Parts: sequence; structure tokens; C-alpha cells
Amino acid sequence: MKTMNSPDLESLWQRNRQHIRTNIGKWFPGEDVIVRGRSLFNDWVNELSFIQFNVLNITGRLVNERVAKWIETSIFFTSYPDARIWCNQLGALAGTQKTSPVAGFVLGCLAADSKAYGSRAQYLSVIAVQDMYQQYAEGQTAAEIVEGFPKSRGFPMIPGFARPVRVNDERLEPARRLTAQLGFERGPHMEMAEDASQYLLDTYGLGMNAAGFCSAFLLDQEFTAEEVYRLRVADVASGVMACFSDHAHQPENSFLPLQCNDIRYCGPAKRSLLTARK
Amino acid sequence: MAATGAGEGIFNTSICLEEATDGNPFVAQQRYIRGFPVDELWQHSSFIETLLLMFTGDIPSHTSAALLERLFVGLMNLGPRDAGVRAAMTAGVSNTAEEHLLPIGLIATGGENNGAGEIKPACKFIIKNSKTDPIQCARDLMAQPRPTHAHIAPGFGGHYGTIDPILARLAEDCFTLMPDSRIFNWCRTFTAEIAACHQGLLAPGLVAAVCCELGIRATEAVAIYQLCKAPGIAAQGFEQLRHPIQSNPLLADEDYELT
Repeated sequence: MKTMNSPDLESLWQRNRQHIRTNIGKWFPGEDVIVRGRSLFNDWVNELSFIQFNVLNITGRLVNERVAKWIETSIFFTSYPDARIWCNQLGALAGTQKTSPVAGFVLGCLAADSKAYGSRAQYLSVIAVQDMYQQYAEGQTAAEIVEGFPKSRGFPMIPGFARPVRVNDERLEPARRLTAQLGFERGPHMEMAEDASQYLLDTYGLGMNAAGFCSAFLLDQEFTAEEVYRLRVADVASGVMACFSDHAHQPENSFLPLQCNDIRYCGPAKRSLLTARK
Repeated sequence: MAATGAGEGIFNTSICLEEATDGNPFVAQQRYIRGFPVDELWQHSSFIETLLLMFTGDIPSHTSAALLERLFVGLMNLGPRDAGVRAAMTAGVSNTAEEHLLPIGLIATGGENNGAGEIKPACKFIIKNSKTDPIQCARDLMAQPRPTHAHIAPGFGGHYGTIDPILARLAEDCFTLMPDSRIFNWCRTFTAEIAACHQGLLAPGLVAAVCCELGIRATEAVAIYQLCKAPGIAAQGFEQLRHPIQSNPLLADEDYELT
């Protein structure tokens, strides 16, 4: 029986069967690699920093050294070698269990793909700032925009504003200083974000966090939310690997070992399966 | 639509054959696992039987299936303090994307310390030594100097400085299913001997012993270990998604000592 698929899909599957068609680049074994139309070894490696190259690979666009420097420095802000942080807990755990370091890296980065922090939180923050700016550009005030968000325990839940640990974000002022030192003017997304942050500070005592600031900045540099997400996938890696390294020579079960009664059980009372099945 | 050519392919497999529909070579109208149509398998074969079919190539005996079933249920959830379960729970409570929880737990349980990384060495140890005197083997190993906390042999070690009593009971309940197994009897005797240094069979060692007995290769025994632990990792990890991140507070500042 002939299946009912669209002709476009059918031809796509046939065209792509055992065939790759792309403009991002190609490896010529023994010779060179072409990346976005130019030679990796004769051109890019001499002209670009790694961050510029990474942005080029992922987005197809070249950013200048200032933007690249900003991106590079902002990764410092997510590279804390503190094993209390959830992704770093997993790095430490992996160290004591003697996984491969790549496994430790992947564990931490995967864990940080979280709505509460890390790369997914950054992505959600960019989307939030994007949506907020849209409303701002249409004439709504910062107060109206902020109050339009759902609340939890009386506090507006806006990605990029406040943090899971609910303290002031120590990264915010360094981020502002970095931006100023590199000579960036405040763009339209940042104007709106700072406005909203001030309203939140005045009304609720907590303003924008570093993720919100970075979101606004990157939007002003014309990155899309998806591009930010892809660029920031490994932002926590340095801190994760620090914690992995710190625990790699420690015995198993030595990272915050748990006794049986360290787990709060709230399930059914003890019972017998044999009795239950009668 | 043009049919695919016979014998073409980019992977070689003896496990799965797919036959395309007449009209669309990208759609399978039938799939065979080790030669058996999937319809027959999902109607008449259990999960464990099909698993063993895939890994060994043959329909297992009732005893073999019962053995692997017991191993799976016994190792299905090693509790919130197991590295893999704990990793998934940590990720779950901290709002990691749910599709990552199971992979996170499986990766965390992949280490050489009482994890998947210990399976292959344990299989090799058991295969090599199970034809020797287990008591002498144990005594020779106990006489060798080793670092504190080190496992006396791959798959055999201490659990917080002693023998894991639950794992010991599970092992015995597995071994009794095949009373004539040379491998199981060797492991039992070896384990009894190393108890003198407060070490016993660990989960990787038990999986290795069972896989050796079932004829599952050492490399593939790693997969069996991961599959055993996957359900508990998933259940415990996903449960945490329902709890707020504040229910798992970060370690207090005064308990974090920066030297």
C-alpha cells in the first residue's frame, strides 16, 4: 500500500539518504577544513579568538573582538567551583565514583539545563526579556509589564529576575562594569530591563539577576534566544570540572555521604507483598 | 518510490531486521528481533525473555529468565543514596529538564567505583578465577597490600566499610536459582572468604556473575547493569520534579570550609 506522504518530504528523504548538503563547512582529510567558506587552518585560526570561532560555527555570524570578549568574560560568572551548586554536586559525585572526566562534564552541563539556573534558565530569560521588550515598545510601562507576570509567594516570577537562592546577585555589578569597560552603550532591551529591575527593586526588594542582564545585552547584540541557548551550553563546565577534579582522588561515597535517616521517607507504611496479594 | 537495494547498509547487525512496505522504503511493515517477528514477541514473550533474546541470540530457558528477572527487580532501585539515583534526584529537585534525568542517573552510575565501569573488570576477574580455588584466590588477594577503601577485586568490595547485607541476600537468592552453577558456587565461596576483611559482593560483581553465567559478554554486561538500575533512577528522579527546589537546600555556609 502506498503511503500518503507529501511529495516534498518524500524527495527530502531520498535526497538526504546517504547525502549531507550544508554550507557550514567540510573536512578535507589530510588537507584542510572549510568553515563558513574559508580555511580553518589558513584563515580562521590566525584571525579569530576561540569565542569568535565558536559564535561563527554556531550562528554563521562574525562578532567583533569586543562582543567576543564580553561573551568570554561572562562565562566567568557561571564557573563557580562550589560543590554545593546542583550541577557541581554531580561533578563531585562523578569524581568520587571515578567516571570519565567527559562523563563528569556532561553530567554537570546536562543538569544545568534547568529552568531554575544554567543554560535553560538563560534561554527562558532571553525569551522573557524579548517578550517584555515587545510590550515595552508597544507603550506599556515597566510596572505594567512586571505586574502582568504570575506570582509565587507574592513575588513576580520572571526568568532573569531574582534567583533560586533569592539573594542579590553578586554577578550583576561585575556584569555592568564589564559592559561599561568594553564601551558598550545601553541598548533598547537593556533600557527596558533596567527599568523593570528598578521597579522590582523598589516594589519587591529584588531586581534583575545576571541572567536577565546578559539576556538583555545579547538581545541588543542581535542574538536570538535559540542562539544564546546554543552558545551557552557549557557555561558551567569550568566549575563542574573543578569539583570533579577536587573529588577524583577521594574514596567512593565520600562526597556529602548520606546515612539512611538523612532521607525523609513519606510513603506507605511497611507492609508485606505476600499479604497484600491475598 | 524506488526500493532500497538488498545488502546495502551502513550498520551491520544480527539483532534487528526491518522489511519495508511496498510503497515507502523508509517505513517498516515488519521488524524481526533475532529472527522472530515483533508481533509474536509482544504477544508471547516477556520483557526479560526478549531482553535475553537480544543479548544472547536465543530464547532463554525459564531458569535463565527467572534469574535475570530476580536480578533486575533486586537492583531496580538501590535507594536515594546510590550515586545514580542521587544524581537523578539532585537534577530533578533542581528543575533540570525531565528528559535528562534518566541519562544523568545512568552517567553518574558509570564510574569505576561500584559502577558500570567496574563491570568489565569484574567479568574478566570471575571468568579468569572461577576455575581456581576460591579460598586460595581470596587469601592471596587479602595478603596483598592495597589502599584503604580499595576493592579487593573488581566487583567485590566494602560498602561503607562493611558488607552490603541487602546485596548479599539478593546474591544468595540469585545463586539458589542455579545450584549447579560453577560460577555462582565459586562466587559464594570467594565472598564468604573475603568477609574476613569486611568486603563482599557489590552490585557490579553480582551483575558480572549473572551475566557470565548467562553467557552475556563482558562489554554487554555493562548494558545489563545500566538497564537494571534505570527504573529506580527514573522513578526517584522524576518524583523530585514535584518537589520545590527549596526542599533540597544548599549546604549551609558554616558547613562549607574553604581551606
